[in-house]
Amino acid sequence: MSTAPPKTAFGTDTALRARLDAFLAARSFTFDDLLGEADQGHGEPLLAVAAGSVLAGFGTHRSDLDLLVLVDHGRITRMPITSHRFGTLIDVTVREAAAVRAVAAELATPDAASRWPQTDTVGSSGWNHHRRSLNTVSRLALGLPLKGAEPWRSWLEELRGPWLGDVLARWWVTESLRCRTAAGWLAGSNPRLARVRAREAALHALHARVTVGGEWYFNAKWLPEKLKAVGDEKALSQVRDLLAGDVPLAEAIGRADAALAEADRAAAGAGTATRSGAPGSWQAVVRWAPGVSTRPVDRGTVVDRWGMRALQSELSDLPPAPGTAAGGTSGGESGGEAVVWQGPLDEPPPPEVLRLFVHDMLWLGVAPQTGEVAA
Amino acid sequence: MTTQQPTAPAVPAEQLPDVRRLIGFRAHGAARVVLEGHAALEDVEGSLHAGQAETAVLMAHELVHISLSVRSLATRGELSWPQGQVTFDPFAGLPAQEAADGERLAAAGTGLTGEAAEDWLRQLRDHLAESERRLGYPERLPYIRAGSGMFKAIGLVRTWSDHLEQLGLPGVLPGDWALPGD
Repeated sequence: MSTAPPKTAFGTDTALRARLDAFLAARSFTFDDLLGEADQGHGEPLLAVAAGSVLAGFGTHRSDLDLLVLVDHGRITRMPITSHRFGTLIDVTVREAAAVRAVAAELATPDAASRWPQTDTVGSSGWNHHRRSLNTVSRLALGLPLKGAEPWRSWLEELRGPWLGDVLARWWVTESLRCRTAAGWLAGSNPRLARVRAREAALHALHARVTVGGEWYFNAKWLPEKLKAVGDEKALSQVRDLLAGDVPLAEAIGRADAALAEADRAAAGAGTATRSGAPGSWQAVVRWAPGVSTRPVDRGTVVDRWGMRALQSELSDLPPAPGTAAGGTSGGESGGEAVVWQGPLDEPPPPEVLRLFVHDMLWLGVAPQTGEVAA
Repeated sequence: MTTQQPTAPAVPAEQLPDVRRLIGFRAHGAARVVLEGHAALEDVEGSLHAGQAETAVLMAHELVHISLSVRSLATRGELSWPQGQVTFDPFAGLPAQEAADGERLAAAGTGLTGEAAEDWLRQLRDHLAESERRLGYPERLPYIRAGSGMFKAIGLVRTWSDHLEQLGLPGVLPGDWALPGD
């Protein structure tokens, strides 16, 4: 395991405060005004942290300021609170402190066998839970504490460890392999979408590389600015090519593979645990997508999504899908946990599984085959 | 003497969509413009004016995909907004030319500065506005990043929530919002 985070991983509190002050001054908003926003009627915060792209140094004149507030109860939801005081947009996120501490402990676990991604945690629920966890914990770690007492101040310091860079880089490695797999499976039936996924595979691989290099801010859209921050002109040139639409699918996949290999070498050099290994050492795990229902019929199974699109599969041994819950939400995560199929990444799935996949009835997850990231 | 039967005006020939498709298009299309499209457009604008040329084009691809996916909801597009769904197809059901033109528009921002960049931004804005126009709302959709916009957006959610529930369709609010604050 690495012994210290890279120098570029964290801004000093002085630097973060300078960025915050500049943002506030440009909008005639005071520090006390900002502290006032931390009180959203949920009681005195245990911890309030200013975070987001403004503090990370990427923010533009259109950027909001993020304010993360931890409180000592759970009577809250994830519905965003947007404050428009004085014309300044502040996104206030309130979370139960104990829940966030548990999530951080889960991310930081030294138990390799339970570290994400694992076969049983790469369904849509597990993927979304991990994404939210990384988003919340990394913003706290990279942000500027405004208010808070012990033990929460010390806990915040503990978030700033090399383990956080490892889990963030592992996310981008996993996403790159997931998009790479999707591109391959879609290429024969939906080449336009396959090219989009191949481009994403390459971008996520570059993101893994720059994360190992110390740029930890967790948001895909800032990749180009992170590459500028570390002076990686070669990678930035690749990003320009990918976005200009000039790169064919096979070449985009090749670039993704090369970037992952470079991220692996950098990770090995830094002594981190983030290594992808060959795609053949990973497996694909497909489950039902949210909103899917299944009906066994005379010849196979009718599979539909939200009762709007349907196909009849020849397969009659498919696990039942959970169906649609009345009042469910868009982008809801209840695709169910039953595995429809799993197999090595470098082998295509059976034709009927592929058919379900290209018709957007399946959720694709990927995980290392052995439960450990292969060296 | 014969009297002439009065004739009704002609009704344009049209293929009627399934009721789920019609309601899903108008409800989820609006939510996607309000919750995703406006923010993506702001990201492009902010990055462009901050000299973040590559980030502007990266976000333009995202914006065009959102905009095209709204249009695709009219015929074959997937209703649920896809956090992480790698088979979500923003081009589903759209003419190939429309999809290609959209992608070309996003990519066209590469290397642009000055008036050319502003013109590109206008075209992106017009693309999203056209997607919104197809949803058939009598007024422009609310802008939740302005003070009164969230209130109007909540009104929009209430307009459709009963219909969506009766039809067994997902609600328009993001799945994350209904979760406890974990």
